[in-house]
Amino acid sequence: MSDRSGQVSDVSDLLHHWVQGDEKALHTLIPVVYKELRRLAHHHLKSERPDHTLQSTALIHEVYLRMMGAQPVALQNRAHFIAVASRLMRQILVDYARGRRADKRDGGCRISFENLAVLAGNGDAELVALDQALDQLSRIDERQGQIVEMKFFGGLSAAEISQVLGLSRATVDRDWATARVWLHRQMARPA
Amino acid sequence: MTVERWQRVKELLHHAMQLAPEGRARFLDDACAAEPGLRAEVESLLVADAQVPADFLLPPPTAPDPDGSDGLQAGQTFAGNFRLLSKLGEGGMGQVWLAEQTSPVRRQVALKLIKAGMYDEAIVQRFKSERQSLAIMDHPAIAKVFEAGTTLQGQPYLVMEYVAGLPITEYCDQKKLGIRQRLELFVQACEGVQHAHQKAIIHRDLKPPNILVVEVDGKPVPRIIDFGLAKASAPRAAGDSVFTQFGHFLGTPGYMSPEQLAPGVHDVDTRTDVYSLGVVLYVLLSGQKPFETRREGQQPLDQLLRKQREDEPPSPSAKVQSDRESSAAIAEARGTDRRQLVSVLRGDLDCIASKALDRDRARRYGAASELADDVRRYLNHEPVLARPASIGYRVRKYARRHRVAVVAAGGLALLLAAFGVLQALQLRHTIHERDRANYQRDRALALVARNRAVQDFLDLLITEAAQSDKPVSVSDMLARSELLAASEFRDDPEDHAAVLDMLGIHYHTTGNDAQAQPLLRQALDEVANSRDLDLRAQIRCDHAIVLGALGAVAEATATLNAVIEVPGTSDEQAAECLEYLSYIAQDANDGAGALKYGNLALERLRRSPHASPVTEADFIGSIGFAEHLGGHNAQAELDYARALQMFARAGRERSAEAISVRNNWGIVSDGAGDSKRALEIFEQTLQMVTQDSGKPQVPPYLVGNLARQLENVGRFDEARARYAQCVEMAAKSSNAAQSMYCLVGLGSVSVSQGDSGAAADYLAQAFALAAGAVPAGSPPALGLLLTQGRLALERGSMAEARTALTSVISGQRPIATTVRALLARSELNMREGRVEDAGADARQALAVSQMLQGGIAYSSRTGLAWLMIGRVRSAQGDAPAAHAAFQTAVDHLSHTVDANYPALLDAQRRLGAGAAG
Repeated sequence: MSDRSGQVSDVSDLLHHWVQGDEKALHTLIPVVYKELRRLAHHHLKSERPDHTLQSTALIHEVYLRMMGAQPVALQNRAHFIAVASRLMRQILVDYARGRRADKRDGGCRISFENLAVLAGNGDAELVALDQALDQLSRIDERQGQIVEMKFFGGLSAAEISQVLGLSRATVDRDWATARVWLHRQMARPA
Repeated sequence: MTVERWQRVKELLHHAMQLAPEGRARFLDDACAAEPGLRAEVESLLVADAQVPADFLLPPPTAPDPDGSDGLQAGQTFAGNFRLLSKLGEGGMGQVWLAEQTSPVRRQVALKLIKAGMYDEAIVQRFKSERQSLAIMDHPAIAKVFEAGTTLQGQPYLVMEYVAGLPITEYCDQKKLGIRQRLELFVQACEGVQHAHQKAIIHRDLKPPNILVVEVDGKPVPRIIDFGLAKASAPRAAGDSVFTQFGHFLGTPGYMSPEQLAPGVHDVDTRTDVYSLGVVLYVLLSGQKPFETRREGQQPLDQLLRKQREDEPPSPSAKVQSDRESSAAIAEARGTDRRQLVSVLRGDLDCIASKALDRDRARRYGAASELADDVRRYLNHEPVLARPASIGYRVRKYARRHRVAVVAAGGLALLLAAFGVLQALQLRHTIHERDRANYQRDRALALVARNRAVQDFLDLLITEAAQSDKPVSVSDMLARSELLAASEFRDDPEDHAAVLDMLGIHYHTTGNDAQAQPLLRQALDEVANSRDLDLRAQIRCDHAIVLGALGAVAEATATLNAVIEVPGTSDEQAAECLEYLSYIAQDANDGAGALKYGNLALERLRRSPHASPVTEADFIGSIGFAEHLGGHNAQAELDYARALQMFARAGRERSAEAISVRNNWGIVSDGAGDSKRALEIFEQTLQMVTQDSGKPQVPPYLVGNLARQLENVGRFDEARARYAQCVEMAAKSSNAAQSMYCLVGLGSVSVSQGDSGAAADYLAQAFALAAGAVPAGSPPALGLLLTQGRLALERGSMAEARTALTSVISGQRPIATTVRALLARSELNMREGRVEDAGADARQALAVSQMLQGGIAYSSRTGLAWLMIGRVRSAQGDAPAAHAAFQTAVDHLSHTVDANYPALLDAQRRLGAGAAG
């Protein structure tokens, strides 16, 4: 408990500094958040209940709450936190999906990702494909990739994304709409 | 793709995606004029866009709300003095925790954390103001609200009585409670809702999970939770409940009232809760929500909401009946079997549920207490408000409305009539002792007071009717009713008048208007000074309709119009008199007049707070007939469909009234010339009647009408068998008019089959009966004349044939019989070489038939008229005109009659011959 409260103030401060424009704070923040996210995700993904449903956004919220506790935190900071966490979450989920695909023949436990279930059919394969397509998108439009990450993996609303990225709402909407088309076409192409 | 190029593609793509598909090409023409490669890329993405599933990359609608309550854990302390024990649930409102309050008193409570991502100040304010009103509710059926507050972080919360119960529907199913026990629980829940309504608090989200059942001293007691919360909290949230994009709470799909669904309607009132209670009742009874569909699984929300807004739900009994798969289990959970469950639900309970679920809240129960009262009435075996107040009234309707066949009521109808009158007598007896001002309210209750004599009387009649296959004879009935009236209501002229009225109307409906008139006249004298305005109005109107039937149409119309204007006449009675005016117009083939009065009657009926859906359906069916007379057959179809839907909704689709409306619907289809469809309707209707009861009371008129359609489509052998059955049935019930009608049918089929000898026999029998049974010039009399003419034509008695046919035609009635007579005379003229006359008759037949056809695509009679016109043209040497006429004839006939109908074969042969020549 004691190291947690210490962590909370750290994270909160780091977040605050980052939001104020301190890039270094972000670099310190990321490993902390990643560690916590991974720990939680691992816990959930190893869960043996077959009916268990994991939502990546829910997971992020959980991490957020664990790290921040019930402290009053500016909403702006929360959005920023989630923006960061969604990148990390993506990494974690894709790693798991790759791993599970690899040992599918061993009949590992099945986890339904409610958020990811919208990717029809084979969730794991789709997730890996999305990850690759998203990488390609980020190469031609980094910001657009970020928006997809925040929205899909972090569950942030367009309004929150525009706030975090300092963009107009219209731009976020346009990037999101066109990214969906581009990603879908990319994923539909034979690998 | 380069970074720069993608920016351009993205720009154009986004722009094009917002255009309608037709506008995109032009946009790209302009935008990419110099760069075909760019255009190809955008177009490829536009193609891809069409394939993107709607939910691609989008979270399912149940994304968690970004509030702070997700991280709460058991054991944690909340807001200082609550220890969270376990999470009870999570829904649209937020989380609910079982918590232990540590001060000021130690107790277990339900702690409700309102989801409010932004901890909006306005929400908190509203929440606090609501708190006051929640605290003033004090009713055993409502869970108490102890306190409401907000944490330091601004999280609003409510502390409520912890109700360790099951949702009412689950409880009832688990305990296999029967219908009665379920209703008793439901009544208590209604009382709780009523209590809150009296404190001006509306629930807005009543559903089984909010109506829990706990056991107090071993007895189940409902307890409603979450009262007033829907209003107090308006955060955006997910779960079962629906919120608008602005965060306003709407309700729970399936339980929401139609006005909650209507866009832009904000004046939701207590009747919204009445609707939701209606759904709960529906589920308690039938095991399913009104618009739930099991087979298709989850239906899309918008579809469900649309249904709820626009459709009428099936009655609970129909719901159980329609779902064979699960109904056995549903019935078992109610401690009964499927068949019994259906029969328990059918009738009063169907009506109560329908009234609570009326889309128009003005027609719903006005308050939860009214709903509770009606259910209680049902439980006490009292007539319910949701059902018509007077059975006698319904019987008159039933007896009055069959079209075509002149109908004498059989034993069953008579029984019902007696039943109705006895009830009316009882009712009136009770009223004497009461304040007149309460008449309407007491009416239903008064009906209940059936004394032993009435019960004995009915028992006697029923046992007697059941013992012999013969219906109870009219004279028996009269003797018994008189006897009863004399012993029980000896000194009461009003009661005596009511008996006379019943008997008079019985004679009227059996076509014996001459016998009816003096009885009604006497009844009228006996109530001359009565203060019972409705009884007077009723007798005056009944007398008037009999006068009208006896030919005094002007006097009848004047009387009816006058009665409507009498102040103090109830809306129901006035509506009935208006309906009589509509009949008089119908009988005069005055479509416009019939429609006018029919609509006025319906309007007036709807003003009555006690109007029953069955009567309304009946009136709508009558309006359908008026539309038919006005040549608006498509509209008539709609009216009939609506009327039948209303019967179904009230659980009365097999009632005598509904069968009668179906019969008239068939007549309308026949009148329009769509013989196949008419046949279908009669077949279905007959099936419904025979299926329903173990010992079917099949009305002969239905068999006669079915026979006629069989004849119309060319299935002569079947038609002959049905007509014969009809004659036999009609003879058993001494129904001369019906016998005569079916004998004419037998004659007609015989003529068509070339059996002149048999035809002559049948027609002679019919003729013998006709004199006393049907008025000269009435449609059945004209039908006899037509068939006599056709027979004479077949036998070569040309002069006799011409006289008979011309006499039918000169009646100038716009009915099918006239068309057939014109066609027969046209044939006669052809045979006599009078081609011009034949042409004139054929064209007139076509004109009348087309008028009757009004709005329907094909008519068998129009086809027959074209066939005749073709023959005339052919005789005149006009081959192209003949060809076109035969073509049209085949078109009409092939859609409306059987393939081997002689006239259709004839038309096809002539068409082929013309083409070959």
